[in-house]
This record gives sequence, C-alpha cells and structure tokens, in this order.
Amino acid sequence: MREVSEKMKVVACIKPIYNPEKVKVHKRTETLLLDDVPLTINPYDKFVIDAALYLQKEINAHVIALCLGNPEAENVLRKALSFGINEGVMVNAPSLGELNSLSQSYLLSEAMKKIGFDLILCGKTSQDYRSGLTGPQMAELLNIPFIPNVKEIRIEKRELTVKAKFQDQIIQVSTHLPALLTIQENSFPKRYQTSWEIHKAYKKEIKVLTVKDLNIKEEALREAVTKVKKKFLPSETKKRPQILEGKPKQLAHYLLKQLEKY
Amino acid sequence: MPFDFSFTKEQECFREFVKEFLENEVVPYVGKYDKLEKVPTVTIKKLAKAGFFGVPIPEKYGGAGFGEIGYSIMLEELARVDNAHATIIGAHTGICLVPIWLFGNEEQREKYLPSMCKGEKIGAFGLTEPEAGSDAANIQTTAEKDGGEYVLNGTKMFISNGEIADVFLVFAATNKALGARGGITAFIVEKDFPGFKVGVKEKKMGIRAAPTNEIVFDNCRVPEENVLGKVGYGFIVALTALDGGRATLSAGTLGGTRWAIEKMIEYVKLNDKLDRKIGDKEMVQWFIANSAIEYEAARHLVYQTVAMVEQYFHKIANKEKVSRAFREKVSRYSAMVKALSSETASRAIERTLQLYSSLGYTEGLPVEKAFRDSIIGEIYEGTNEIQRWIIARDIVERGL
Repeated sequence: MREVSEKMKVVACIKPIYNPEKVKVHKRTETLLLDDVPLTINPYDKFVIDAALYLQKEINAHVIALCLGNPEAENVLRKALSFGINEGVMVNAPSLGELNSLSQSYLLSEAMKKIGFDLILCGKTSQDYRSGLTGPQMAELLNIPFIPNVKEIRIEKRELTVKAKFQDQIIQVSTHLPALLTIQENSFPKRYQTSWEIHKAYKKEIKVLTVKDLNIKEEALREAVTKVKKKFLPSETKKRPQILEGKPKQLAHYLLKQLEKY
Repeated sequence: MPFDFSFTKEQECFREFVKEFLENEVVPYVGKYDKLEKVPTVTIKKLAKAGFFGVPIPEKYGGAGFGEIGYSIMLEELARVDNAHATIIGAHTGICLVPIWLFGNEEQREKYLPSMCKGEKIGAFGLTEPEAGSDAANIQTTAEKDGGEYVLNGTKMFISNGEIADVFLVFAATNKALGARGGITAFIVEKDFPGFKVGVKEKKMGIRAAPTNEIVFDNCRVPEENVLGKVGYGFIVALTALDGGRATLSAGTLGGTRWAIEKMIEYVKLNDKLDRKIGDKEMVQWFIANSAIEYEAARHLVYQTVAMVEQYFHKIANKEKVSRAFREKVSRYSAMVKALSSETASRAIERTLQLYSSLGYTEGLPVEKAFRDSIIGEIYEGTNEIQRWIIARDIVERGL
C-alpha cells in the first residue's frame, strides 16, 4: 500500500462465471453441461465496472480490473477492459481446480497487496454460487473497512463518504481510505463499450500473477478446493398461458379478482 | 487451419457489444422512424458516439481498426434489427469512408477520415445517374478542369444518405472519349462546395428511415486536391468500393435471414404453448429447415469473401501490388455473395410472412416491414442481374 497517492487507485474485482444463458442441463442426470460454455463477466460485477468508471471520470482515478481464474478467463478480463478500464491484472491459478471462497479471497487479497490500492470494489455476489463472501472476506484479510450495497460514492482527500442500502433504508457512512465496497445494482451510470475501446482492450498487455509471484505455497491451497457433489437446477413448474375471451369490462373485472388473490 | 471459420475472441466480444447496444438503444426507435419516414437522428448520434461509423478503418485515422470482418459483423447485427440503419451506416462506411482510406493520399486521409469515423461527418456515394444505373461506364456527369479546380455538372440519382451526408464520393467523366477506363475520375465533394445541391427525396417501399435523394451539380467547383486516386482512375475506385460494399452488404442481408429464422422459431414456440403444434407440420419444418440450410451456406461464403476483401484492401491501402487474378476473384465472389445472401434473406422473410399469414401482412408486427425492407438488398449496389452478368462473364473467361 502506498502512503501518498497521486492518482487514486481503484481496483475492480471481476469474477468470470459460466454464461448462464448458455448452460444446459442434462435431462436424465440433471447435471450441468458446461463443455463449450463460454465464460462471461458475473452480471453483478458489471455494476462494479460502472462504479469504477464513474470514479475514473469524477476523480480521475486509475482503475485496475482484477480477475482470478485460468487462462480461459483472460477473455473475461479483456471484456472488462473494453469498457474503458485502464489496466488488467490476472491471478492465475490453473492447476488448483475450483477453490473455496476463503482461498479465493486470500489469493485476491494477496494480489491486492502486490498491486496496491486505495479503494476496492466488488460485486454484491456472483450469479453462480451466490455466496457473497469474497468482498467481506477480503476486507477482513486486508484489515480495511468494508461497506456493502453502496449506491453513491464521494471521495475528498482520503475521506470516503458513501450512501448504501441497508435493509429497506439508505444509510450514509464515512470512513478513511483504503476501504472495500460492494456495489448495489443499477446505482451508477450504465457504461457501454465503444468499438474503439474493445479493439484497444484486446491489444493491452495483461499483468499475470501466479501463486508463486504471491509467495503462496500451492500445497496450502490444495486442500481448500470446493468439492462439488452434484450440480442441478430446481425442478421446473410448467406454467401454461391462459387465453381470456370476452368483453373488455368483464375481462378487467376477472383480472382484478385474480390479482386480489395475491 | 484453412477451414476454420471461427471468429476471434475480440470479434465475438465486439458482436456481443453491438447486439446489446442495438437491442437497448436502437430497437425501441426502429418502428417509429420507419412510420415517420424520417432519419433517426437520435439513434444515429448514439451509434456515432459508440463508434459505429468507423469500424473497419485503422486506429491511426480514428477508426476502430476492426477491418472488413469486424465491419461485417456490425452490419450483420445492424441489419438484423433494421435495414434502414444498416443502409445509412453502410453507405457512409463501405462505399465512401473505405475508398477514401484506400485511395486517398495522406492529406486526404487526415482531413476526412477522423471526423467521418466519429460520425461527425457522414458520407455518401454518388455513382448512379438517370442514364447510368448499374451500368457505371455510361456516366453523363462531367468534370472540366478550370485553373486549380474542376467544375462538375450533372445529376446523380438514388443517392443513399443524400440529404444527411457532408462528404460525397462522386464519379464524373473527365474525358468521355476514353470511356470507363481512363475517362472517369473520383472526387471528394463537400456539401458546402458552391454549386452543390441536394434534390428531391425518393418515396420508397422499404428502408424508409434511410434517406435517398437526387444530388445536383450545377457548376460545382471542386478543388483539384479533392481528386481521389488519379485523374481517369475513377472506374477502378468505383469498382473496388463496390467489391467491398457488396461483400459487406451481404453480411447485412445475413442478419435479415437470421432475424427471419428467429421469428419463425418464436412463432412455432408460441403456438406450441397454445397447444397448436404447427412445428409438427411438414410445411413449417421446410420453411425453417430450408432457410437454415441457405443461411449456413451463405454465412460461410459471405465471411470467406469478406476475409478475402480484407486482405485485398490491406494490400491496396499499403500500396502493395495486387494481381489481376486476385482482383477478379474478389469481384466474382463479392458478386456471388451479394446475390446469394440478399435472395436468401428475401426468401426467408417471405416464408416468415407466409407463416405468420394475416398477422405478418398487417402493420404492428415487424414482419411486413422486414418484407418491404428486404427487397432492396437485391437492388442496390448493382442489381442481382448485374451481379450474375459479372459472375458469368468471369467464369466463361477463366473457368470456375
């Protein structure tokens, strides 16, 4: 961590997940068919990108996207860069399989120490496992303040003030940097890529950090692998559309009655 | 891997972006502007900001650097949602911006390309005349040298983007006696040049949001530094522009075919839910299967041709020598995919209309609009009859 920061360093954590639209389920065994399913940006992390780029615009922050995964996940990182993020860092742990969330947080937090940061932004959760643990675990490992569900960010000098969703209310919290925030959906202006940025993103050099670079022993992580017993989708209830016929007034009356049931 | 037709990760990422952007920012306006028969300025501005106006041009000149393949991906997705939008961007990019990059000198490239790539200036292509449609050699517009300027006189017809364009690539006869090869010159004409006028706007069957106008040159004075390529070289400029334009246009019509197939599937699934199993009917299966067969065949040939055009253009832009055999191969393939893909789209959309029957014929659902919009693919940038003439002439001379 740096003492004096000329340009605020904001790190956006991006999780590659299997594209949920392309995942199919085996009819008989109910297992997920993941072969050839491309990885994509966790949808909750898109809001992280929006927030990070908001800070890039507002306070001229230097934004780094950090991604943990195998070489295949590099494309996800490049896609994140194509929104206009300044730099990409990949933590590469290909031989380890699917790490549990604490190990992932540990690897990411060690990477954070290596690259330096003033503010870390994470998604609220991920669409695959939905544990929502990575953000808070990392904050704990780095021993920095953690504020979840952030909707607004204001930074003056090293003073951070945010508005965040807490249960059904919006609360205002102030703290010092460095800190870690998780971002509430649809809170910052939605950013689109541009054709120029996409082309640039695929030419940018990506910094790769291995377990060795982070001075972590692979053996220590080997036990921390998630063992998945079964993956399946909840059973589908077949809903059938109902075609209503009759005069508009009668139909409106009928619909109102149906709605009252709820 | 000579038979690998897959796209790069970058191209896939670009396609995904284009699709999402169009779905959110363009699709909601398409029906409205078609009905109003007005230029969709709202969406044009958004598309310009997102970098849709300079996709194939190298970054050095303000483009996105995606080449002809990336540009084709964009046109395919664009025409899938609206052929009028594809026409506006296609006329600007494929047959105005690209030839300025290919044949322009450094001053011309630096002067015109950056603002055109940003969509701040829109381009158009002025070749067709009342007496010279697909027959480009019969151009009546003249350009006479007068000091350091050329004076242009004549009328061009059916000019896409006519009333919204700032920069026109215009072809005029500088020496009628020499005919097409040697007698025609390409000029970069700005809308503010004295003697330039936009004429009547055509009422059209389809692509109604894309303006088509007459443009008039009445002693229009064009500085001699605005000659594109060399004097007498205009026919080559036009043919090269059209080779690229036809290949990429065919990627656009692929988008139309895909849309039609998607609509047919949607209709079958909707009926399935309502317990009307139309998907079990052989006639419906044939509609879908035939369109899918034709789509896949066209898709492979279109992108193979576009890849060839990309290579061809790269050589021209870098002033490398291009063999006559390669040039003619590009022309033949561009003509082939233009005819193949536009007719595939028209057939698929007609089948969709037939499947939707009365619902397809009435306004409201976009099927009738797609039907009206699809036919132009068989007409502009050289009718499909002209394409067949090019193909047959080349095959008779050189064999398959």
